[in-house]
Amino acid sequence: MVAGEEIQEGKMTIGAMVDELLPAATLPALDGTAVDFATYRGKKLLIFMWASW
Amino acid sequence: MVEAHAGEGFELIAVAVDAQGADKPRLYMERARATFTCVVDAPNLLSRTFGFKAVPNGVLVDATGKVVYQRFGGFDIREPETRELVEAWLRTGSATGAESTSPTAVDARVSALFEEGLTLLRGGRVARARAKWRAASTLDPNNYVVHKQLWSIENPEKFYGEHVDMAWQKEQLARGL
Repeated sequence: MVAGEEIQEGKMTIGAMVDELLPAATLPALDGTAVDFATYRGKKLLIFMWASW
Repeated sequence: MVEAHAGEGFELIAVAVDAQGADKPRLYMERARATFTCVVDAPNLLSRTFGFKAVPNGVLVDATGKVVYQRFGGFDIREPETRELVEAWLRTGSATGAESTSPTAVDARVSALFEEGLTLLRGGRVARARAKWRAASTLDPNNYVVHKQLWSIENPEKFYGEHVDMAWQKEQLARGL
């Protein structure tokens, strides 16, 4: 279980992640290359989530 | 801002939460002449892992991998308070300029239905994908990751014409669609 994660009656609740380690994630960049968030250790990172809609 | 702070070990990753894949985000990124990394979360990984129902969201992570600030909903780097927060953090290492906000809990059944739809969509089964998303959105109409994705695939002209038609979205909500 990821730190800060609670399961409550069918609902997945992610508590505040502040002061927790960022959960692992690897996603494809627009050019198809894999981007692993863990490789950004050592940097100050801003993750900005948006959508075309 | 990214370029201004590039030498200080600052990186920006934009995550496009677009079920339909890279095409639409790529268009926006090209129009903006963005130089930073943009990834596409077509598998719905972050919405499920971080637990959010809407965008835009911002998460600040320090060099040790620790989350120091998060804002779910309404995160806009052009907003003076937000820009100040990020710049102060880059200068001082402290992100106390504003309160973090938590995402609203995501129903696991909604995520499951949404992701079944994603698989169907990628297999070309558009009608069945839309049915799954309709079911997911009925369970939780306030999950805008699902709701807006459904709207955009059923009414692309309201999203991909000149601009996103927010008045149309308000009307849909008022009509319970």
